Amino acid sequence: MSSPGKHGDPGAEKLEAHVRAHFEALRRVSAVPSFDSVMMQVEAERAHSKRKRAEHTRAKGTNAGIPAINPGLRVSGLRACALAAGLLVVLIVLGTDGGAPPSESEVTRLARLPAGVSVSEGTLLAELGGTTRWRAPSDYWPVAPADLDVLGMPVLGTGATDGIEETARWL
Amino acid sequence: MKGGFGAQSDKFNGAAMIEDGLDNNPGVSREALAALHEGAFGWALSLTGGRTNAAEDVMQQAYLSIVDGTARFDGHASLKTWLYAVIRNAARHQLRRERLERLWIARFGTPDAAAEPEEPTRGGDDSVAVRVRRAIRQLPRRQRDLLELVIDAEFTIEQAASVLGISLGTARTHYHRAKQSVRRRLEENDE
Repeated sequence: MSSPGKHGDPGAEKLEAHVRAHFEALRRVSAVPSFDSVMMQVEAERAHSKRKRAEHTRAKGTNAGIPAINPGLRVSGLRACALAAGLLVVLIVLGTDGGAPPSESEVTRLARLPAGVSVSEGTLLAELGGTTRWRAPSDYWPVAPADLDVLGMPVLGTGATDGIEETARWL
Repeated sequence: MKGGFGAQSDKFNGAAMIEDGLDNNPGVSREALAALHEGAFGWALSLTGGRTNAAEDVMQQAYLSIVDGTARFDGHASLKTWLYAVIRNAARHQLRRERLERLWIARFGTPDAAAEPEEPTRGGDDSVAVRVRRAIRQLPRRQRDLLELVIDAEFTIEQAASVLGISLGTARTHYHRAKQSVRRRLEENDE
């Protein structure tokens, strides 16, 4: 036990006395609850918590009143949420792969545009009524290339000339 | 301060198992706690700014953690040191909860309800006691705690450091500063 003022410093001893008196006064003003009364509250709190835990366990066991079909497969609510979240993440990751719009060269290939016909020209021509010859490039947005089925579409010959005017002759 | 729950023997992780020890804390008896209760309550009162209701809640939480074994006495420190540390932890949780409640009320409740609870005032004259109270209140929290633990609760500085969870060097420094600060303020008022 330390005696901070034991080295004969009257100032230090006086200080200690003041500090001690301060904290004693603090305790005097507030009524100290008896140890037994506090412990009674503690025991009551414990009993209450125990009852709540028992009720919760019972409720969990019957799945809120519905008997579990196969207790072995029962999954707690928290685990179910975690599983669902994980599945969602996996689906999003898989789904985003290839979800980006195809590049212009890809569209050109898939739409089987004649050589020299750009996507924008092809779009224009499609709008002018050329869709029977090839798929309109706008058909490919925003659908992923992998989802498109362009098999069976007539492949236009390689005799396409440059420029939109020449291409128009294909129609 | 927590100890593991080892095999039953005459020792419980260093603390002697006593005949009337608590079920979940064999090294602690109700009688020992009762003997320390008054001083411990004063400590809780100090930690909660003199608010009796808050101090009672803190004591209840501290004893609850002792009785259900959440806080386990392992015998490495004295029972008193350990008890005061448990109370300090309980007070921290209590104060954090109160702060969150006040923030919640400030956001969603009435402005008056969000006001910080005032410390109860005692006395109005300029007596020495009032000056000492003012001087101690102006101290930083840690210095105030150290003064109380060493001078009022009669812990050594090392034990007080253990209660507060700080190093011995830090405790010594803050204790020394606290005494100097209070002394200086009292001497200023005397002039």
